[in-house]
Amino acid sequence: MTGTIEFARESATETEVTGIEARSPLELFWRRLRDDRVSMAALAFIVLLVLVAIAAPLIVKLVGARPPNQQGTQYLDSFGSPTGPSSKNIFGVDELGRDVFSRVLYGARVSLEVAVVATGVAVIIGVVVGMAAGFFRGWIDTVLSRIMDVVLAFPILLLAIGLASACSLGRGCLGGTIKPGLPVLIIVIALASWPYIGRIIRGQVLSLREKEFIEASRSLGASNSRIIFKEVLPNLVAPIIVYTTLVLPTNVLFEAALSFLGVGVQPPTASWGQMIASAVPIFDSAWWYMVFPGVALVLTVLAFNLVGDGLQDALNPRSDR
Amino acid sequence: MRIPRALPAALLVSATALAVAACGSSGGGSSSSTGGSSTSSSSSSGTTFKGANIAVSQGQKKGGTLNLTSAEGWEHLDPGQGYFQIDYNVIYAVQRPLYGNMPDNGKKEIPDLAAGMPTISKDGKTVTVHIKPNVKWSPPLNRTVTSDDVKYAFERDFNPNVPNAYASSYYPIVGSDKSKGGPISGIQTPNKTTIVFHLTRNFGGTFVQSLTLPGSAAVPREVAASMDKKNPTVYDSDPTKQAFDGPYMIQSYNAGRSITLVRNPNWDSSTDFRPAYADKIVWKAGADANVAARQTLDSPDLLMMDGPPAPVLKTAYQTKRSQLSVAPLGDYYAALNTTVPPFNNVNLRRAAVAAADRQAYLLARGGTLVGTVATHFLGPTDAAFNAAGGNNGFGFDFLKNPNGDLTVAKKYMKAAGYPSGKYTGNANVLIVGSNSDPGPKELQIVQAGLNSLGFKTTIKAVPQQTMYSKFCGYVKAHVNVCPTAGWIPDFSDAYAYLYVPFNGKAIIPVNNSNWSVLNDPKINAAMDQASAITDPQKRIQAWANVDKMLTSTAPAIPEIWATNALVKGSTVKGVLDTWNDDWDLSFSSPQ
Repeated sequence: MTGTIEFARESATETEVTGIEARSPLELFWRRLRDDRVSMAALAFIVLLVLVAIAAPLIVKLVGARPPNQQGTQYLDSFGSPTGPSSKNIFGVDELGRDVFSRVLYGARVSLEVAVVATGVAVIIGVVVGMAAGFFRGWIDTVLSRIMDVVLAFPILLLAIGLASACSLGRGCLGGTIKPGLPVLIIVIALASWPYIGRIIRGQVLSLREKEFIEASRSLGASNSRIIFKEVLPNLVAPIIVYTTLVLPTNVLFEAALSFLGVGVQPPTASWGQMIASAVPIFDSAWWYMVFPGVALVLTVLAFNLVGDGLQDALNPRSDR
Repeated sequence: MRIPRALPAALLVSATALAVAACGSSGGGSSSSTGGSSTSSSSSSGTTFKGANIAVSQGQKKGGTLNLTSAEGWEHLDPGQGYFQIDYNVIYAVQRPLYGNMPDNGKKEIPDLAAGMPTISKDGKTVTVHIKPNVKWSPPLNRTVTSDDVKYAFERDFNPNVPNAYASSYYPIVGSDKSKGGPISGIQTPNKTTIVFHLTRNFGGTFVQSLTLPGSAAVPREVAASMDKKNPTVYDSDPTKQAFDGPYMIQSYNAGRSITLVRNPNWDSSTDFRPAYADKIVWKAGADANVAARQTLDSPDLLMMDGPPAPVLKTAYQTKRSQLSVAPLGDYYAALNTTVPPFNNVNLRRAAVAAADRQAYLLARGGTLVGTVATHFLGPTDAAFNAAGGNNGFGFDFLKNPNGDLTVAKKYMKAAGYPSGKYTGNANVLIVGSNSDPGPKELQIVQAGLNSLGFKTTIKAVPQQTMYSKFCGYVKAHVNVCPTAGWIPDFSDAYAYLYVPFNGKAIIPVNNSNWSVLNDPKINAAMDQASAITDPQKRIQAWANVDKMLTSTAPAIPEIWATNALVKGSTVKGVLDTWNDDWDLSFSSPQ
């Protein structure tokens, strides 16, 4: 009997040992995130959205909807008013007889494209500037920080409206390099959001560079570039990921706002903001034209925000919100 | 004249009845016509639409304040420069041209500042007009209006500092072509009440009709001359400083926002055919078209000066018919610039016309209630309409299918040297239109048509006045397509329908209304010949031929022959001016 007991104890110790086996930070992070059901649902939605956006032409074909820019007078009544959801147009049509379903799908493409690219650009600029400012301090910090202050104080929305209306004349500004459309939209949004990242990174680097492990590698004679890329940067991954996911939804909204004001994506390209804008005058007779892109926009922004929160909790469990 | 965003209306309105094609069916509205058969023209199963009472006499009373609203603001409140429906409303209430029209009869000229009908010499080249001796200018000028004031008005019309859009087309006065603002040899004033015009050609009958335009309204030399020395003139920059001889004068003006008219104390009603019921007229502009239209329908006393957008029009038709007036107007077309690539090529223009979904234009403006799909340029209100093929037109294949026909379009693309049927040149097509509803829709409709032929396009939406002043009416802007342009004939003759928008001699660098910049010597000559014909039947045939030549040359995509929808408050008595297609300020009354 005793032998058996001992055996059992032994095996218990064994399992315990495997349980304590070292987990990589990534694994820890994933376990925490996995338990957060809300974030997982939001993440699933985002994955679905990305797939839908990529496969939009395919889905439109499968569902049997018309391409997003195909106009159809047969779907308007004799007053030119759009008709609502039906078997042919499951989300109804807009005032040019275009299928709202396929326009919402293609709108996801524009939204994600703009938000992801603009956020990517903003993060790269923000990280580079923030690290330079925080690491080198002194006059470099002063100059870069003042630049960030200036950009933060800049009325970006007015700049966007001004750029768009000035550069939509004729063939565009600066010999056609700047004209309203995706590129300008992305530049403006990136311009508006990089200083937020930059400031946060700068703060993190300021405290990191005084930590013992940095002191140690410096005393071992490591070069600045080694310290920056091998010691500091890996420690910034968590804040970068968290703030990227928080800036993304803001930029989705910013794109929608600019398109709503008519200075973003140019027609006939479908964009949620633009669809909502043109739905305003006919909302009381054609609710579907505003509701579907509106719901898509709300869900997307909500999902990104929830995932951002979840990531923050998972990467930074000690922070209490 | 040019028309604002809204809807043009034509001149045959005596009956307010208008056949509205199908789908007036009562049951809840929108679902009934989803089938593809809604092609509008000549659908006979219509109901008769009895709209608002718009008659000249509907028991109006003197006094009170007339409240007006509109989406569009004013362009030039100057009798010499004004050429915009919205401007006309004000100018005709404060100024007196030589002749005028009753609101319900745009075909018959009646004396306004003139004392009687003019004397026309046998060769049709000399026109003598006597003016009323007892018409006075408003304070502070207070003096009697003289023939010299009329003479100065014409000198202004030809002054390069006063960009008048029609003087060279409608006033072929001897010496006017050389005028730089000074005296014109062909205008004489033998005494204070007589003015004699010497014309370069037999133009007599048409000339009298053109004397109803604001360009013939007297302007006092001592008030305007110094302002007219500036380029451009500053006579309209503060219109409250002008001299007025009409029943009203401008008391306050806030450009693009508001204008207030009050009675002119020096106006004598015994000299005028206008009753001028209201004591005061307050007009607020710049509202959102949808908001303004809804406000008007819900109000007792508002008149909306431009047309309601399609969704409100539908509501008004379904629920408030007695506050909705629908009357024929002019035409809408998408002008194609004939001087710059790609549309300097006639076959590319025909292809563009063939590819256009003209039914979509009609629906964008509000459907069958606002007109019919056009197949040529002279509209149903014109005497030559039937001679020009009526609704069916001349049978050109590129105008046959109102929904557009890509096969025909490809045929013309091939004829233009694009064997694939797709445009492969490098011209980028600039399309400029109004940014207020339905402008953006029309921009995308024309864009979709052109894209289907492989054209690269850029669209630009701006306010309608800017569209006219900085883009489509500014020749150097080289806009390729102007899809939201519209034309109301200046008077009831085909000459006024076609000359200014399509004659090469009417092209002026600024404030131009020949948006296609069409200068075809054959068409110019045919118009000259047609305008000299006096026999009515032959004249009709000649103008129908001009229309045929035009349609074949395809300087524009004919969109619709429009009817003008207007809405009013529930108790205000709105009188429709059938020749300006808008509420007449001097005949309407608040009660």
